[in-house]
Amino acid sequence: MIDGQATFFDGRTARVHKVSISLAGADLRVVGEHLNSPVAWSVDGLTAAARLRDDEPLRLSHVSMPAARLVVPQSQLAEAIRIAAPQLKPESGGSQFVRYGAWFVGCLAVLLAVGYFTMTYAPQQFAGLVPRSWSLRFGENLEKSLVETAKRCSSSESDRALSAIAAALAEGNPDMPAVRIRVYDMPLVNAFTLTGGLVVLTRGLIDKADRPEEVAGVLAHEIGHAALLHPEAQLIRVTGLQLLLSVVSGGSANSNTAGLAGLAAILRSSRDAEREADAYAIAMLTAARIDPLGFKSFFEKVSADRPAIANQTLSAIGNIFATHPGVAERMNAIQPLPAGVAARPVMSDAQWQALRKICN
Amino acid sequence: MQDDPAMNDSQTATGERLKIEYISKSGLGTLAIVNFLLGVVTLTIYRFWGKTNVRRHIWSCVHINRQPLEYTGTGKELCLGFLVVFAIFILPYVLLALTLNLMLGPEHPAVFALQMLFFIMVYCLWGAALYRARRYQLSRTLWRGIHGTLAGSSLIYSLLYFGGSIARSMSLGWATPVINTSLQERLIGDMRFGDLGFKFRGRAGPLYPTYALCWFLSLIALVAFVAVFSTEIYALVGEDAQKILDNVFKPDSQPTPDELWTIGKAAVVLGLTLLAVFVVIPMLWAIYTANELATFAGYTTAGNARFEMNATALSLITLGIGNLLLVVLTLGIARPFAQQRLIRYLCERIMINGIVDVDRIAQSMARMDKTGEGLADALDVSPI
Repeated sequence: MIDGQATFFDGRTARVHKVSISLAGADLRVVGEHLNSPVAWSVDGLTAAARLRDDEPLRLSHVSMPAARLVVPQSQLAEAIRIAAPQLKPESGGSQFVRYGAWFVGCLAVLLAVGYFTMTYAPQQFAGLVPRSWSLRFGENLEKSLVETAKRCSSSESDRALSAIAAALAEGNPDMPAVRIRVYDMPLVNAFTLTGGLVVLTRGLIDKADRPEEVAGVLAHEIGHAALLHPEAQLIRVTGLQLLLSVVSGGSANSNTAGLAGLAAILRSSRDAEREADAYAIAMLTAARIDPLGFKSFFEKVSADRPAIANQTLSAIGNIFATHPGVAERMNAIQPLPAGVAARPVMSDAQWQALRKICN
Repeated sequence: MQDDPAMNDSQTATGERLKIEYISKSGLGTLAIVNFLLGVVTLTIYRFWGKTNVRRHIWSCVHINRQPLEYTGTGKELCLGFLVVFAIFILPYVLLALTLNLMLGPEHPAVFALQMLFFIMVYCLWGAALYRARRYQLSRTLWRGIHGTLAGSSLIYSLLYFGGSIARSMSLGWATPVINTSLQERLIGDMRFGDLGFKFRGRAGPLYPTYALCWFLSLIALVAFVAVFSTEIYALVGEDAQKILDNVFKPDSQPTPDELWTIGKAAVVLGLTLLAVFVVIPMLWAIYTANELATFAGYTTAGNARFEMNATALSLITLGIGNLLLVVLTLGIARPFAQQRLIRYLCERIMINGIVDVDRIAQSMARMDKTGEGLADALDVSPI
């Protein structure tokens, strides 16, 4: 049996009790002048109210009296209690390091999994589940904020020309998705696809084209995006990121989703998506017997000059002809029609002339 | 600390004098680094446990009559509190905002209405968040085996806070001393340590001379900065200002290097001016804050003891700038040290004059919250 002095707080009043304690076997007895009755604590039930340190007294509590505190100064008695109640022993620095390290690695793995799910898996898997009416409505809202005040170009003749391209592309491609093609009076050379199969071309792009096959090539690429649901996938990606962000920020960040940055993120396609759309376009053009070299020549023409982009949002989106590494590779992938297959004209000369004047 | 001299030195027949000390100890640096690393890989979700560990450390450094405080809160409680608020408040808003945005477009009035509604709700709940965070912290603070609490209603405090904010802006700030006094009166009046109540009695009147001083000094400073800024910009750019702005910011523009250089200089001047406004004016207000802290401490009593606080503008400025640099220069990693500096400042400057019959303070039977601070975390209002 070991005896000693300690300070005791019974958890009922803030009174300081000067007590004598004795450790006998598996029991710790606390006796004090002003305590109603001696307190008997089992050694098994002792808990450390503060992490044990060599430069501080032991601060103990007990499962039977969670608010009570027994403060034992460093002494032989304190040492004996530490030995008798091994559960009090603080975790060693090494094992703490290992534990935190394991948490770190585990959390990192979960983080990567969450990132993969949000950025890759969910967009691919769930893009097809977005209701058509939603994606159409969203696409139109997006279109409005992107074209700003630009005039929509349309005339009965030029519309017929656009329909002719779509019809020519549909030849031999029975799976072609329904798309709506719209031309806006904007000087920059660009084309993009929004959710719901909405394809937007600029006047600059039409002006830049020298023959119908070039416009057909660009359209085939955009239809590729629509068929592969790239805009819908991007919508899911941004929504997921937004939700993640609201967890991280605890909601204190501005949760306005479709700010311009959000729009840009929705529209910026990855290089893989561009490659997929290219492959789709080449297959489509070949099946429709439209000369794919039109797509190639247009590509070369546009990537040669630095794209002039005036609109802030549109410049954030980038450009389908963006001069990032891999453009040469993308261009080389475009092959002529197989030998023996004769190219069909996309539209009549009259239609082509009407299309060129679409914004006049 | 080996023994308990409180028993011998300061205990009298009717009670004790209370003395607060901050005794720092090692270990905070490790916590700061662990919190940072785990915070990164958990996208900050570790913050509940990190915060808890920091509080546990800082609380245990605060000694009253040589007995340390003990923080008994857990990360789980904070996390649950957050999840509750997230599920009933934030998630519905985010989902609704997202859907409206997608369906109606970002400029639709319904989206704006929803944002306004959310903003007003946040504004209304701000006071409740402060109150509940304070109540949680007090209920998880143990000294000599006794914990504290706030005995009032967070809703009433929230209404008072909301009304006060409106009155504050309507009066161009001049209602501030009155509002702060009544808010503090409620907060302190509701505060308990065990069954010992705190009292706050005093008027806002004595705060007005320093308030007026700070208000007019800020106005003068603001006018002076605007004047200096416009003269400097005019001298730099001259009458071609509009032309240069057009050249630099118009799309497809080809600004000359000279124009870019001028714009660069103007941007630096603007930056320095803003910095001056955001540093100098808060520094002026430290005069008022110091006076308010000292006055409010003097209005506060517990048992037969009256509080006193030796707060000065200069020390507050040093504390504030030091903490700002500490947090900014370490990208937030050293935030626990900034929090330690704040608590140490309070401990070193708060005195409790008179005697409190501590031995007779009994544990409060008030029900304890099961979860903590959800709202405060979401709104980010708790300083520690």
